[in-house]
Amino acid sequence: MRMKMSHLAAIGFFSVGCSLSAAAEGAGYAPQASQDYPQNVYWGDTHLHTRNSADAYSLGNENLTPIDAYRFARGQEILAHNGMKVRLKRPLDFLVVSDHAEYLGGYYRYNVDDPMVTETAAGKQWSGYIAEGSPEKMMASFVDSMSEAPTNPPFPDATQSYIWADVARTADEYNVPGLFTAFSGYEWTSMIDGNNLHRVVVYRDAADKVVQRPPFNAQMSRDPRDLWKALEEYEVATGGQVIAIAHNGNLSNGMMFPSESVDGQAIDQGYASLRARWEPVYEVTQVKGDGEAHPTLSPADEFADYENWDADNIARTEQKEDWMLKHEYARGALKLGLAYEEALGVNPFKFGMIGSTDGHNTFSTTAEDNFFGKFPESEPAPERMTNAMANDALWQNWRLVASGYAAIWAEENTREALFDAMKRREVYATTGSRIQVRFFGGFDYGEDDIHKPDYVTLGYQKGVPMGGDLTRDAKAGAPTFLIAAAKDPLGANLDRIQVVKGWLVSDGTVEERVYDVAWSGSRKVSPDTGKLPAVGSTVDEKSASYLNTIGATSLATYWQDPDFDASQRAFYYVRVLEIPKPRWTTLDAAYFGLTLPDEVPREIQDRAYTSPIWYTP
Amino acid sequence: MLNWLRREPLVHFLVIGVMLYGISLGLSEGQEGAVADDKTIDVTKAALFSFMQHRGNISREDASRYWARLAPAAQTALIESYIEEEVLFRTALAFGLDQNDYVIKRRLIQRMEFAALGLAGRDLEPKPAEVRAYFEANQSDYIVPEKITFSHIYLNPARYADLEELQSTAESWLFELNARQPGLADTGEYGDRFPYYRRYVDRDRVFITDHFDDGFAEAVFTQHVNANWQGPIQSQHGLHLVLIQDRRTAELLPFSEVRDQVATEVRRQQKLAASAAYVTGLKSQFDIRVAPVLQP
Repeated sequence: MRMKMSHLAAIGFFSVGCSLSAAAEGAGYAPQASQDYPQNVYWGDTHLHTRNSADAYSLGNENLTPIDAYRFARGQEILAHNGMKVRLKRPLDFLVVSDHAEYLGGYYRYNVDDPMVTETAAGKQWSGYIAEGSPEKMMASFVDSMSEAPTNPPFPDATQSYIWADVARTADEYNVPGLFTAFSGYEWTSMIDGNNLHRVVVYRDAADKVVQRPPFNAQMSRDPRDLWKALEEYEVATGGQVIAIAHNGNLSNGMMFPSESVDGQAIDQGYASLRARWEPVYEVTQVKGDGEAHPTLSPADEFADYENWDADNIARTEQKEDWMLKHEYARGALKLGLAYEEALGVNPFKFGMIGSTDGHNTFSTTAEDNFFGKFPESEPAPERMTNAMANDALWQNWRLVASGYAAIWAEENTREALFDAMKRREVYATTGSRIQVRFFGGFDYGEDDIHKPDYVTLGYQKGVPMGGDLTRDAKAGAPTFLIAAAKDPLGANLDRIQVVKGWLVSDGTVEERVYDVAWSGSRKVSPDTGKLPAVGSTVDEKSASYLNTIGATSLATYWQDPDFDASQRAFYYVRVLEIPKPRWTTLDAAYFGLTLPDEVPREIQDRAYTSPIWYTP
Repeated sequence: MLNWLRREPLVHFLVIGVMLYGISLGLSEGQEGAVADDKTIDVTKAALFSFMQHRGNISREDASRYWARLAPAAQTALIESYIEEEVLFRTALAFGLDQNDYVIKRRLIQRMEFAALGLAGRDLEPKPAEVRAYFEANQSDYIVPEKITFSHIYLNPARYADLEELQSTAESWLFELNARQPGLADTGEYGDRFPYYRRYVDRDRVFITDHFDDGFAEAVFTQHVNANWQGPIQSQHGLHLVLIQDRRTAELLPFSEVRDQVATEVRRQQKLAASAAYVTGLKSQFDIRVAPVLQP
């Protein structure tokens, strides 16, 4: 059967039989676990905006609220800005509505004369701009809020608390333990010299705790260390728990995984400890580019050149230079982390990986066949092939990446279980498909273990899952791994499983290698190149369809590191590739009858990236 | 970064800020703030007090008292302030900026919608009886679909010589399992690695169909809870022996469990309805004529 996407209609209607309903708190939602390890992978988005974000509102998302975000995520139908009725085929399991903290909710409330905003110093200043005929200054105040010396005052505490309470209570209202998790959250929008340092902050807690401190915003400080301090203060004051998730290192021009803090001090043990504590996971893939690897850093990796956005920084004020890349991409950062751990005793960049959307139109859509863009201007319409972001001021919208998902292994779908899994990094990223991946590391796995039906039990019993740590075992040889991947049940077959290893050499350099460890069909690794041949492609561009006649529905393997040196720090993570599918732009072209510009890729191989397992001598 | 912010349509904020004020006057104060003609500005007591009322978010009585206490210079400044706004507003109207620009139109509409919510739906809190009635009328929204909890032992056809061996292995295991009755944790030696889960807890039919297929889902959802292993059941992946531990038919959640959720939804819908009713009321004040060519 040809996997023809009904595309825009695909997101349309797919009855799930019944709308979401709920059990009361504590009543019967806990799975009857016969084993005490995570048996379910939950799918969600930790990074989504609504009209409460200043930029989203400025660019046309005037009506969609956190309530709409939750309803959409839970499978309800919502009217999009382009006039289409939109509904997810498969609802999400969890969502973080993460609106920008700077003037959170403020533009909308100003525009409708909410006195809690219009009567603030900021509101009055905005009114002044308008009176003097410079309304653009009001809109610029969002960017101004991230500048070194903002000229617009922040909202007073009372206004922030008033809006924040509404946000947190709405999250509580839509949080249904066991069925759908709504986390309270926001985005701290730090930008220095046009470089992106943004973090999404996610709470484990209910509104009674969350409301006790309004969000930490860039007007308070643009230094991540101050954000961490504020998170600590929140935890101490409330007894709650919170984490920060950075994203878009690719637009940070070398500042996301830096060698020095924002005031020029070399990264020290204090920085490393705090970063490791507060930032256990990194958002590695999203609408503004995929950030796992870069071809300049990994010339031997033929799959590194994937949806990278590497021209400049987030404000488009400075061109990219090669030295920046290792401080921007996850693989580079994981490698830097090994060197820092050797030098400082703490690894500042010991993060797991998740994906999310960063959608600003309130639609969490991750896939090629349901991609609803970033802002209203990039919702499905013929124009989005040729227009550019933010009223044609930023990047071409065809570059947008239909990505990604945060996948979390947990015992149950609750705030507590999902949050705790993020803290222990038992999570992974996909670029939009629901690829299931298990990854275990240890010293005692046998070659046959992966074929056993209870390999998961063995995985936990004899080793650690993704996100875990291995330490030197004098008796044992090289670490062994159990890896299993299954295709998205509604998606494309799998091409291959790879293990990405980074290790610290005694001279202080950090090396990397990508191993093909399992693949479909009877392909053989070429003795000349050491490479596994490409899987091929069944994509038919004209009809924007593909066939699952190549690839495998699932792949699994036992793997032992053939190049292990027990004295070397190392990390291992898994990358799973799907067979090629039509990229969303190809689907658009077929649906709207467009001719694709030459520079637009026709196909895409969606993928998954697991959190690493680290080896420490 | 600043450059894109300077582009249109942001310039319209000028107009909007001013026009919203005009709208709000018109909304709650009838004709007091309305434009008499294009080039005359009557600063009446009513218009000025209305202006103060909205500027300061105070009551009409407070506006009157406040005015009386103001020093003459302050009174003059207030009048100037009113005149400035009115001039800008009139000028914007004279430019026709309210007429043709869709962006402005949208923003004005949004302001009206917000006002409508405020006027019609202020402090809406649904009554318990309304919540209950909504629940009764929309029970299908509060039905938990049928769910199943089961474990399965998977036989991967690729690991058997032929179908006959596959089938006979499944049947002999079935016999053995039911004779031995091992605990779930002790069934790890039976079968092959399954691509998805070994154990499914409280999952609905859609989920089971995704991981197996329609036929398998139909089969397990028509079996009964049983201490014995059942099967083999076929799916696209191969054969499965299943131990069905819990199966629940679709059930309507008790009202007591979902009261808060229902209230949230009622509140949301009441706000929308109030706003819609307000707009309907406005419509009745207009003579609306749709061109015959447009009528179906």
